[in-house]
Amino acid sequence: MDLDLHQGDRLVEKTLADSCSVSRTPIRSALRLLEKEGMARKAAEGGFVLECEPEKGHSILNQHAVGAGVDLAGAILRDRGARRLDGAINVTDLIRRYSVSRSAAQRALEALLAQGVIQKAEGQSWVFTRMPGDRSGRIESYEFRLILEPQAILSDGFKLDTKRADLVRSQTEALLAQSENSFNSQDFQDADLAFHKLIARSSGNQYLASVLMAHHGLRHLPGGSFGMIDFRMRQALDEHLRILDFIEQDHFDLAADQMRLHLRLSMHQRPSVANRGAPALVQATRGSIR
Amino acid sequence: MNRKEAPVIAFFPEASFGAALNCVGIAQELRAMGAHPVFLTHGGFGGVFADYGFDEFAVPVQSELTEEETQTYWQEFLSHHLPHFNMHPTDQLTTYVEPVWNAIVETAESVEQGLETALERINPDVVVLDNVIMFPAIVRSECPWVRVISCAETELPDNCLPPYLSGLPASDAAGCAAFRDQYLETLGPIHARYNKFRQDKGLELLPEGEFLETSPHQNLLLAPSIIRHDRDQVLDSGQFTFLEGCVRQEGPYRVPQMPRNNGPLVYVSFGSLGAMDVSFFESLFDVFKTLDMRFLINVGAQIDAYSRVPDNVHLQEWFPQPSVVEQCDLFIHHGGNNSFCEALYFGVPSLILPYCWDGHDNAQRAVETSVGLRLNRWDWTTEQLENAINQLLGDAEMKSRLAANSEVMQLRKSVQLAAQKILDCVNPNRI
Repeated sequence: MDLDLHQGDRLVEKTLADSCSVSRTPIRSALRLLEKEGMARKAAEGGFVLECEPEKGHSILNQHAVGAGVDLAGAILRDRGARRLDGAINVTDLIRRYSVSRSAAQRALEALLAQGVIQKAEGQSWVFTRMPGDRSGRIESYEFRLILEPQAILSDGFKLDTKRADLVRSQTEALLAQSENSFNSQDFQDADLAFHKLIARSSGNQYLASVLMAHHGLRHLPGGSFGMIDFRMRQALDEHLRILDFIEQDHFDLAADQMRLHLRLSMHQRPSVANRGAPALVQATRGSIR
Repeated sequence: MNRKEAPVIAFFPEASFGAALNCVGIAQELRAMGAHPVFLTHGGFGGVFADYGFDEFAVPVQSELTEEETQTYWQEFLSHHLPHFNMHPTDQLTTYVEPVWNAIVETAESVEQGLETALERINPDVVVLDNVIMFPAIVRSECPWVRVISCAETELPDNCLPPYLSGLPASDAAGCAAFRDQYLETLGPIHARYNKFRQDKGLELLPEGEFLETSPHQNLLLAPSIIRHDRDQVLDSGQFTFLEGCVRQEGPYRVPQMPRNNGPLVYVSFGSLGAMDVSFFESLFDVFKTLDMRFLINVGAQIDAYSRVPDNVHLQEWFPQPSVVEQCDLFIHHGGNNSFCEALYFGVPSLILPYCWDGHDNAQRAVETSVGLRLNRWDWTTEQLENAINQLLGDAEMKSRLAANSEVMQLRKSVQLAAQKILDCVNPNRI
């Protein structure tokens, strides 16, 4: 969900339900779960107040989603990311695999359609679109971001959300303070998304902001687990801080250049296949080889 | 840079992940000891070492392939060679080993000029060569050089060892003799071509079948004592150093929850080349889905080719392998020496299904030394695979022996030993 939430904000059922394209029932369950986990508290005037950073609350919900039956769409995405599902799905498949009602399966498909991760195919089928986390979509995703993210920084009216920037900075510095080879790639991915969403949100151009936020939303979905080396993760986090430094000093050109460099370094792929005496292949060979 | 304070160590691993990551482990230690390790890289490997924080120098080749040509090369390589991976080692001599050696010699010829230029520019204190062939520019640079044998120990021949790439037991004298003869006959023309190249560059000729001399300075063999062979000619301990392990430092790995999340954890990796064989992996899934175990499988660049993956199987295109092996109960692999030694280092039994090169030798050695089992790619059955997995997971005696051996291997701190042996080659008076 891409609501501009902060710690201490009120969590309004209807707004959340609209944002997630679901009914209020799963939102209510999610709020109760967050309360149980200490991530939200009941407000005196009714409803709930967020007691943690939104990314942390999202992570807790993800962990509990399947068991609690809250997030069938999330379970489908996770299974798609793990290549447990075919490229095309239908309601009958979902009912069988997840033991859910027809209406629940249909709601999940509608939510996935709203997120832009499936498209209606012929008959009763739905097909998954290529995701930024898919190996075949990764380079294209970086190329897309190389065009837009520096422009977001250079856009008229770019205004860094300082409260959120402070949180991103402290989250990044906390990770960097950990000893070498100690932090998990998932922690890095969370910090990475928080930083890039901050840049998108801060853009002065609403269309740039919305298209980048939508893309980062897709990046946030399960499926991409290509693994990064500790050194490169630290280097990337340092690059985030450097970009923030430039922005805070009003050196927007330098920040945009640094963003380009950062994305170019991050899009590097290790060889797909190598063998002694042969030129290593960097791009994936198209299709399966049987 | 002050050379006395930070000797420059130039690594030149062959273009395979095993050698590359073996060198990363040693280079990490050298960096920690204050040296300045750098990597000379073959095409396509640029960035691999930079991701670990090392400087890289790309070695240009005479005729660089475009991305499209490389793609075509691999399409043809795989469609031609995948069937050969299901052959007996003897049958692979003409179908696979010969063309690969031919390609290796061609590589040596094509990088010679570029390597000479790169070495002149870097002016290293020591060159570390982890390869199966000598590049004359290294000898001609007059810089001390260290040979790393990160393949199976059979790469360094001896009368008591079975022939390299044969997968035979040393006790099969007739089989070994026949394989050796066929190997020499098959590679004869390639060897003659390589010797001519050496001669042209002013290097001494090598005996038949040999493409790389031992270093007069230092030779590091990744051959843990639990699988080491007795040799007819004992190696000089001043010039040859056996390593118990060469494990690089990687970040932690969190084992993901799977829909079926019970039972022992099995890690499966057949290297980047083995990962191209999608149908082979799919045939493994048919067995894995029937077992109450969890499987982590390295499927490399082909990850998008899979669907309907069983609920007890998790695929990734890359794993921080040392962190994964440390947590698993069984490692199923192709017998690559790095994978095999990492399994031993963490006390994990190996089930080896070799498909080429020294994987055959390691599979045979795993059985001989009771640290694992072997299945042949050309005739394995689903029942055999299931039985082998269950046997290895249920073998308490093997598990206990491997755990004790793991403790010894880790105590030996071989990465530090390797790094120190390399630093010992630095000439303090060199300018």
